[in-house]
Amino acid sequence: MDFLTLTADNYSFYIGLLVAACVALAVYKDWLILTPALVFQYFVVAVVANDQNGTAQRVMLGSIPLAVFLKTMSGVIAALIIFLTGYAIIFERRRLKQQEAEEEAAGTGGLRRFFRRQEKEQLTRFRYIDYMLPIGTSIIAAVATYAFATLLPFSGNFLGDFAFYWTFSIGVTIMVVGSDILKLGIGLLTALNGADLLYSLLRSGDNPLVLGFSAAITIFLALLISYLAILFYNKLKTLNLSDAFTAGRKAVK
Amino acid sequence: MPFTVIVLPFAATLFLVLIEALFPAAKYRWSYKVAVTIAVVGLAASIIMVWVENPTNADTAFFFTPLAQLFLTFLFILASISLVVAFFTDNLKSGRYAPVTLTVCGTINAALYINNVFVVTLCFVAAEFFSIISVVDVGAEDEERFVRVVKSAVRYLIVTVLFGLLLFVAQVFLERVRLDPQQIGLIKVIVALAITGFALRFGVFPFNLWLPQILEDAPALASWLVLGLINGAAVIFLVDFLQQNPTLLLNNTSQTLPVMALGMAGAVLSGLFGMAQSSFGKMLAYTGSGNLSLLLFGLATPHTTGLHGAVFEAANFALAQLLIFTSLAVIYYCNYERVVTGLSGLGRRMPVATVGLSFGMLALAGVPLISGFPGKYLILQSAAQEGIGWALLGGLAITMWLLAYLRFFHNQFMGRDVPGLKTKAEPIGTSAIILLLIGVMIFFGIWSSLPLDWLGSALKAA
Repeated sequence: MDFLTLTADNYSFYIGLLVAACVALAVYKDWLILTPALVFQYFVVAVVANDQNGTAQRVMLGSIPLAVFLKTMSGVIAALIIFLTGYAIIFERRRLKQQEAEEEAAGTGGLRRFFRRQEKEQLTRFRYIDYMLPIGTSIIAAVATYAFATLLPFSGNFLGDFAFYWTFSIGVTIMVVGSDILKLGIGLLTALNGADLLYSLLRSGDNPLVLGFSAAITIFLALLISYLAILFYNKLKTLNLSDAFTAGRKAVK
Repeated sequence: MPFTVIVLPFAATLFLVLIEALFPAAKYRWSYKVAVTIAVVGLAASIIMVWVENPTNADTAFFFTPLAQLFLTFLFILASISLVVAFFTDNLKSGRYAPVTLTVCGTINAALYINNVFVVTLCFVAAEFFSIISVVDVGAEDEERFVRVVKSAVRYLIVTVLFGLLLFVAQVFLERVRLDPQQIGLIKVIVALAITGFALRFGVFPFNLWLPQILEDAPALASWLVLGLINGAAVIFLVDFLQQNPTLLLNNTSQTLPVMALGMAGAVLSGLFGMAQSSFGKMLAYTGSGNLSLLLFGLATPHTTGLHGAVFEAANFALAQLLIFTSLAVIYYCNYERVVTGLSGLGRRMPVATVGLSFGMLALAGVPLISGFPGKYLILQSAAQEGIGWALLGGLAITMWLLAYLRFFHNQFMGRDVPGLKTKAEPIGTSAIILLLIGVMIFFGIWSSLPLDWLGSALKAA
């Protein structure tokens, strides 16, 4: 498994993949793009962490380093949970269309009806402005990453510093800009991944217990996000938490 | 048998979930009683394990410190009481509160048992994750409240991840300093990261922005899990962390001043903001923040009295919060699921809950003869040793917490009835529990030397 080790040949590939995955996470809203991007991000961070830390333990008949295996698997499971949540919500939306039409005709539904109409409008409309803020904040995150990695290096390796600052700042960016629960959850998972990487960068020799626990926490977090998203969607038929809805409530009433 | 100690509460949770799945409480009324019984028995068994299964050699990977033993016993007893309250106030009907309480208890039990700070941090993060499930356990009838609760839960989730992240980074740097003592300059960074992490967890002002909305809208007993149970265990984690690394704060006078200033400023400003609140839950959040800020101040003071006072105050805080949230749960139940904000004249309709709430708030304000007094007295004594100004500021903060409560007391409990308000009679079981908790508070307020001796010997042994 030579490709799991960073070399001069694949260095730019991994860095490009990390940057692209993080930008996709920050900019796109569609969970069909978000979930593979999350997996790629976890995978690249795992490879970088392994390269910096040199974990001795290996799994799969000694072919894969333990750190890469655990981090990638936790990323895959977390992405799968979010993928299934998004999938379930899409199905729920289709089922609700008829009910929505009936309620619309009857003039009932209150806040839920308002939420659903808003959600539908947002989903079916493409506006450049929706992408301006995430792209702008991603550019700010890139500048901040470069500045921090240059001015405040801590691991003695530019790649490690860059990967940590980049994942963490993108995680924070997503949390600041994102307004739906799944997106906020992806921001949290990205920031958590950055913390994991920091642990690997600064600590000499990974502790398998900590790695395993950290992977479990990642999966717990994904499950909790999924739970919150489904609970919120089931009751209010939207995933959006933005304050625009709060202001809009008066209009509904 | 470390495996048994860690797994036991989770096994009880699994059993509970199975019972709930097979015999849903909505269909089988006896399922409530079974849920409470299993949860309380599970917690009782965990208390026994805390005392029985403890190796004598503290160097092992699994070990309860004497302080952790005392606190876990105390917190698990309080958690059992909260489960009984949940039974009487219909908080078990969704089938989530009992398993969540058991899981949170199991996670903090593991956190205080495992001797690896990284894993301990992750355990606390997991406990906070689990508590979120009970925070969002509200009906969808009141849609606006539901939206607010989910928003506050997301905020709490972000704070949880930040808490874990800051502690993780602090511990990584700490390990670097251990390996290379020449990097002594990192100590300031470590203290800043660790204290900010704990300040976020405790909700110390100004890191408490996530707290008011949770206390205002989440179910009362879920708020106790967040504010009383997890914070009680987190204080023990912080004390152990500081005692294991005395160079960070306890033996490092240059670092104590900023932490003391943060704690005292938090206490005073929380009091100020508490007095300005227009809803009961938010006022409670600010006075709670103030208490925990003062507790942080006590931990940072370089005197044993401050440390003892802070640890005693942590126990009192968990007890007072349970009394307050039990009373609020009774008020919510008796008023057909209406939150306390906006109600008035409750004292005549729910006298026991009103008395319970008043005692809880008086304990938070450190009134003499109640368990809130000894801890605050010791903290202020320690503050006075550092300068009379600190003690005066502490006194000012406490006065403001009391005033913040008294502003609400007259209108909400002694004022005129809300016209047409229908209420149920207070359940006898919860009334007995409230009176019992008041009795315990008075007992520990008058005979405080007994718990102080226990805590003193536990801290000495640690």
